[in-house]
Amino acid sequence: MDNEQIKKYLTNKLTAQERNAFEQEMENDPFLMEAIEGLSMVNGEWSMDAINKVEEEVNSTIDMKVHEPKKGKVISLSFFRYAAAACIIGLLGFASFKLFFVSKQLNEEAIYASYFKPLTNPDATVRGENGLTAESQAIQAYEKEDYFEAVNAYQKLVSNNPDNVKNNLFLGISFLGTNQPKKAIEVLSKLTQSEAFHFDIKWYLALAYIKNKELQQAQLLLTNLAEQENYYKNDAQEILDKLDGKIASKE
Amino acid sequence: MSIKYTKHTDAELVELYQKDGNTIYAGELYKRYSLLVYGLSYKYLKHEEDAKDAVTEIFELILAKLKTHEVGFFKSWLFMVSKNHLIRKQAKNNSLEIIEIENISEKFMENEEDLSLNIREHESALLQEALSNLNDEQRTCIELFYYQQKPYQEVASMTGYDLNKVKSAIQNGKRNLKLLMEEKKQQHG
Repeated sequence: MDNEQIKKYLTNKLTAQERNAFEQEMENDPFLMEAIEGLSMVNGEWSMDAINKVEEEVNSTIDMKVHEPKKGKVISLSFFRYAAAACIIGLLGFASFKLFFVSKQLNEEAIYASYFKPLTNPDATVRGENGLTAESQAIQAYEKEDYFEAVNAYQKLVSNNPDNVKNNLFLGISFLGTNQPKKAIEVLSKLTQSEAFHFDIKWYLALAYIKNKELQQAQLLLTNLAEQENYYKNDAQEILDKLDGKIASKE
Repeated sequence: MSIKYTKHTDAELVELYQKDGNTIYAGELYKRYSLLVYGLSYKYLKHEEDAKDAVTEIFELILAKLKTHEVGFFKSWLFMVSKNHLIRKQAKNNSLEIIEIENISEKFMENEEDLSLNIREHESALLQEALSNLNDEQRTCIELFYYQQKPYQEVASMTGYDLNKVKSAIQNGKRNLKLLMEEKKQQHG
């Protein structure tokens, strides 16, 4: 279903048969159904001009992002602009402590964002089966990156079997996926003695600590991972190098 | 959409972007669904400017996530990524706790279930039997919509029901049909 067809539907440019075909597709496509609901809420009687304008606006912001200039571009300053630049430099210098603090916070976020990748579930199954078990529902939600649904499903599994390390681990990762590092820490910190998924648990717990700005806790786990042979060894060392100055300055 | 990329499938554009990180490929791909993302964003945020901002934010997410994620079917994946972002944004705007998500998830699951009703099964005797067990409202709407291929508005005019009632009768009818057919299969099996 492309944008042209959507616009024709919204502006009543389809025949009755075409409208029915479009609506049958909506019934089988929740994305299309919810989007049409939303678009109809914006305007109950779209004209082609109005919907084209919205499409143009939305697409132009995407184009701006696509063609955003790369960093490091050299800009030549006129004579008079030097004075303004000097003032700005002065202000920047005056506020340097504050800016340093803010950039540190951003760095923690950046480290977390560049290293967090969801762990592949070892029990991933074929999608679209009928009669899914609770576990396969959780796995499917997790695989589809629907972490809210995954949290919901894994919480049910864990409440039925609190000692299952794998389900606890994926619950923890799903909490991270929903931006809830404290809850991820709560779940994952109980698993650190487990032999199963030993390194995975430490890795995701370390990421949760970084996300939650508990850098010293993260450092302990990452040091442990960097000292042993495991999948995360190199990444752990890389993060330790990046965190080095930050942890020292917080102490 | 640039003419240059119209013949590329979604999967090909994903692959091109993942290979060299050129945002043009991701942009062309995303624009195929920009109206859908905007409509979905408005549904959750109920504010035109917020919805437009969300379209940009989701594109930024897509640019980052596509680099590290294997994407099977782009449109479904985009739907999930968009929905997760919008639910978070909506919860933040309304200062809601994440606990609210459980109910929302159940609603989505209902939609997923709807997908499994296979229209080809209309021909089967089993379906006819199940259809006869629906209430009048749901049966009439299902028959007009699927058998006689009438659009929602026409079904509404023919039955005298309002548009929302027609849509919910079709959705509920489909779900009930699925349940009834499962029951019948067990009885026959």
